[in-house]
Amino acid sequence: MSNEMDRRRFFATTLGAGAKLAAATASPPATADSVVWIWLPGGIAQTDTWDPKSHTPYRAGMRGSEVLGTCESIHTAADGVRIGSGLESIAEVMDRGCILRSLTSETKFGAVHLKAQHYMNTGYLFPAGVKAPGIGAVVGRTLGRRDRGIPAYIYIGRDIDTSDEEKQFIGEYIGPGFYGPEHAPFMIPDPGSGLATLAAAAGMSRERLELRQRILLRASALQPGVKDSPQAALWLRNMEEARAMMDSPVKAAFDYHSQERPETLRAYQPAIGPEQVRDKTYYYGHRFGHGLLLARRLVERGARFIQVEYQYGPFKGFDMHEHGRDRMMEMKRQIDRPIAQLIRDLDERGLLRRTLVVIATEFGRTIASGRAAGREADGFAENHTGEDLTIDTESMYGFHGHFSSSNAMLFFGGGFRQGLAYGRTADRHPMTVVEKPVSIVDAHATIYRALGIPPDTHYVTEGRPFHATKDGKGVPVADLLV
Amino acid sequence: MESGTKTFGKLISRVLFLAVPLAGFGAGLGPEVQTLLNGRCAGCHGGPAPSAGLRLDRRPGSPVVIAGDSSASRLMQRVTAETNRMPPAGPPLSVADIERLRAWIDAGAPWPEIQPAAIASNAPADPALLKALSEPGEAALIARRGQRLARVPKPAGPGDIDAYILARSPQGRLGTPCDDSTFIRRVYLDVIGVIPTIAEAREFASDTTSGKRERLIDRLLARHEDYAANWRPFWEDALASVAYNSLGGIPTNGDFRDWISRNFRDNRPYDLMVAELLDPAMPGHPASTVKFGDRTRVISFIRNDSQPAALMSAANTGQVFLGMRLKCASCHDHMENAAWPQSRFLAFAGLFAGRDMEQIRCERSLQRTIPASFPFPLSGAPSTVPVDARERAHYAATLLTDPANPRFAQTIVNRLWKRYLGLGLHEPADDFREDRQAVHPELLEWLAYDLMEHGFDLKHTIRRILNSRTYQAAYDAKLAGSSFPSPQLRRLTAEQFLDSARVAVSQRFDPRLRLYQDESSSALSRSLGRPAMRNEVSTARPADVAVVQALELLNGGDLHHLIYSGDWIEQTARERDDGAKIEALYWAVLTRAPSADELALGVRSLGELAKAGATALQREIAWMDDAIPESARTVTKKEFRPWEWIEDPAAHGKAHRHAGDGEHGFELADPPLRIDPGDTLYSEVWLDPRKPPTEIGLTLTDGVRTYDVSWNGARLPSPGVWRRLEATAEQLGAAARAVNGARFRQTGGVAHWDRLGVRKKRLDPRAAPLGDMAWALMNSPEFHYVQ
Repeated sequence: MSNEMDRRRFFATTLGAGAKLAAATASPPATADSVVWIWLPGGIAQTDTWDPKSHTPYRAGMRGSEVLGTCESIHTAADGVRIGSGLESIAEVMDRGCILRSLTSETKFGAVHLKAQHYMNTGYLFPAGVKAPGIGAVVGRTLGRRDRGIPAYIYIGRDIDTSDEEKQFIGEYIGPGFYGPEHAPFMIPDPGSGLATLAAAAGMSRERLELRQRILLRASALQPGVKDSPQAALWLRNMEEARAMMDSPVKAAFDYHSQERPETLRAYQPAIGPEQVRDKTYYYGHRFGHGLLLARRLVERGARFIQVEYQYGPFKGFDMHEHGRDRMMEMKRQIDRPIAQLIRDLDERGLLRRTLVVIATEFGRTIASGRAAGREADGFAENHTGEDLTIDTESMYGFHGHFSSSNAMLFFGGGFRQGLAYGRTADRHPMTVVEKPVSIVDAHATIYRALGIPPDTHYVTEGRPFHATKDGKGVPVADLLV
Repeated sequence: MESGTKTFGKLISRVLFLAVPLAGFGAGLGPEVQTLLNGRCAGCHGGPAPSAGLRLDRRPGSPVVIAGDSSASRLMQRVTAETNRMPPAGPPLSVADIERLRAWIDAGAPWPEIQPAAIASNAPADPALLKALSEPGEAALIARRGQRLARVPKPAGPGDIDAYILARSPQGRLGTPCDDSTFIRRVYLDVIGVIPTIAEAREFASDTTSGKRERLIDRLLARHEDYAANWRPFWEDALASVAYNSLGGIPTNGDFRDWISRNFRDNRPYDLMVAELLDPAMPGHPASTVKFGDRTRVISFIRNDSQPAALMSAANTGQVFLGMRLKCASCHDHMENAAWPQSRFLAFAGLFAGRDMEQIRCERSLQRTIPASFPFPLSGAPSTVPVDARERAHYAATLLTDPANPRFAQTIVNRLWKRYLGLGLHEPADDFREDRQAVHPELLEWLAYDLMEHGFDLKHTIRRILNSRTYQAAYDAKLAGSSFPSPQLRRLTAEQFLDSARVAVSQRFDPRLRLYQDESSSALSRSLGRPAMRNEVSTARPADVAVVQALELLNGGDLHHLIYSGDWIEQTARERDDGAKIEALYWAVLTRAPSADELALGVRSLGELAKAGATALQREIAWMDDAIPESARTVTKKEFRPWEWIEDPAAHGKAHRHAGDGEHGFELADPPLRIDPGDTLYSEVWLDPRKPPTEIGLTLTDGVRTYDVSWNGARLPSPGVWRRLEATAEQLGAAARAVNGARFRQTGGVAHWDRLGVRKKRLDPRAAPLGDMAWALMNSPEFHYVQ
């Protein structure tokens, strides 16, 4: 009982303070309180999704430059805005979204996905000299928690125990960087199995767990010397907070299987399962879809920033270097229904007004410069037109080249304008931005603006300020905002 | 109190007297206030993670300090407040100090500024140095060391750590000596990175002869492998060592693991070690090449394949070996350190880049090239910098490690001091500034000289520190965050924590089980502060834990299993009465006897926990069943055979069939399979009675090492029936490893295989109460920190 009281008092004091600070720094009024950042790494062909050109069907011997789109484009609920086929559900909710078609990067990443992902997630080029925090950590640290029982930054859909060096690298830049462990994301690898550590370890009864926790506190209070240290106080407070987390709304959010209606669960299922894709060893559709459902439940309960990832794998998922047409269709059918359902659910609940949903990938795609795609030297694919490439098998048909010069990003709700496509890219290769280019830094600044975070928000490390946007100079794109 | 204040006043005047002459400050209070803030505040409000984001190791801004208005300044409110007064630990600031702060703010809060140091020197070049420059190699460097040191004036002073500390102790005394059990735990963790076993601790406690602490220090320092193992994570972080030359197309600094281990095992002179790291002309220089597309890149701590890589390498070198944070001077003048305009940094970077650097300010070229030069005045150094890139690197490495460059030795002795006492003599340890005093400048200077005089033998300096009364003082919470005479609490690294936890619950130290050898990353190791990936240079691990990490300690399966499956825990739980169990547990975990209150709490708790009940637990983890693990890949090397999955009702589904000699397998499974001590690997097999193989076997691999087990002759299972084959983690030699591949081997015949996995060691319910107690003690602050 008294334990419980202490816990409550603790939350009231420490977490309340964070909220106050946030209010003081939020100079322009925020239009969003929460963010769901849907992260689709691999590099999505904007031409087959958010920025379609003409459909140019496969023909043996066609020039690469002739390939402008591998699918038809379809009408959406937004007047005059078309997107690629395979995204029929999202098309129905496009009246609530805004497509930024002129996102561009001055740095050309060539073959290197991880650097481009680092840039999109942190706003800093790698190496940044210090470990740069992910955007979720920036938002979490600056705005603090919305609900005192829910971590400010939650990350869904990425493995955490790993011996894979690329995954280890990614684990760093989606993390808190130099902010330190306090701002680390709350990692939920698989929404279906929940977060194992929110439940007692196998064989621990609730009774034993409580008893053990009490013994920890009592034994610690008897430890000579250490018990009076500031470190001990902080340590035990965190152990207590962790214990409290086991009873928090986060945990309740996981019980979606029993609490959501079957039709809702189905709505968050992808249209195709693992047996229907070319590479049966790489499929995260169900995990992704349910990740979005979990994100919705967490937003309802007061989450601040949730990132949901379709887990990246080199040459897997959206990273297509052959069979681009077919694989793109498979991926679209995996993400289409769950994303649309998230938008619909948030809207129906009145949450979309103050919740910003972002869809992002690290770069766009273009036609490959050679048969063996994905090995372009830095910047090479950016300028070429595909004139020199002969598409002589269907496996070569698709957008297999990395393209940093143009990329698309989507925004739903949270104070962004709706039913709009912003910016324009060329209709022929190279499909670079021809109207209203927006840098990644400015795109971040726009998101921060919606959240009421000034772009020069900064925290000091190694004796220098490290800003939310590079050098504090990001400029929000006013035309994207209401 | 009165006398304490007076001593402190005296101290300040002495600091003023000793201070480097500072140019350009007006009101004389600045340096005093700097010293005061550094001594009492910057311990928390400074360093890599300043408390509340506030730094007091530099001039604070509004609203903390509002120049000219002390009463509105938050700093004054906080140091004089009734509640939540700052500093939180130690005595409040004296009236004199508070008045000094007030006067300083009202005078406009002046902060000393310094002039950039002279960069070049006009003195004639020293032949000893010229010789070392013209003859690359270790012998020349060693000869140079002595000759050059002879030109450096020997610091005056007592030549004894404790005397220096005493001279500046505000309390006018050294700290109270710590007791033997605190000492043994501290020194074990500091030297070899694990806690002692009960037997080791008791033996030390019962030794009544004099000089036993010194002997223990020598014994531990002589455990070369264990000593090197304890250093390796620090240097892996500091060099950004990555096991691969390229990560998804990004070049890394390369793999320094073996190089670090070798250098510390052999206690290589530090100057030679660093010269070898920086200078491609040294025979053991760690570097390799890797092809990126058409380009071949040199992978090394110094990379100069692009302007950003060269700048970063120079900044990293400055940070790690010269205690200078220069990254922000790579794009523009250093914002807070006027001694480092961008041009000075670019001159430094040009030494490593192999070419003079173009000045690009905030991404715009100034159309100017900065000639390379060594950034510190160095008597006897030739001012002409070689043009050839390799000669230039040799020039840079030779000057950097030169005894006449005091910053090099000071940076490492300061790191040693920080490592063993929790706070550097100069803080932040990565950011020496001309405008900021070390807390004990004379001691820093002497330790650096002493290290050089003893041939850059790190163990010599470590031995000096560990034998000092200052190191052997008891922790005093009242002095937390302030400098000495009490050591600070230091958080165990992930490696120290997990290695020690293993020793505690098994009462055995097995170097093969140490975490530093595990290249995988787990939620637990990250929670304990081990980075998933060393993609940036870092010299500090997180000092704290937050809720996500705490949850891992609370409920994480890995730590739970480690503690509750400990042999010693089980054995002790079976054999002793409750009082003896608690007594032994305190020795095992905290290396000390419990107090009467602790004993009573422990015994009472065991009773309560026993009533709460527990059930026997056995878990099996099936790694492979009817298909290879989800993310794994078939081994396709040409001597390997493809997988042949067949329907086999007797296998409850599919089995993979193997006929004839050879192997088939998978690799790169992720997550990897973790094998703890006590685990048993199993796989099921059916041998064709018509054509049984003569030998079958399993090989597990983590990508680098392999672990084999074979069955032949009488050990072959009987044919015609499905059998389970088992091998313990210890038989395989794979305990405490994470493996990501498996191969099935066979000589002749036909076999069907199915199901591969591990059976975790059974958790004995009778051991649960003592396991719970062990968990509580291991997650208490006393275990997580070195006291």
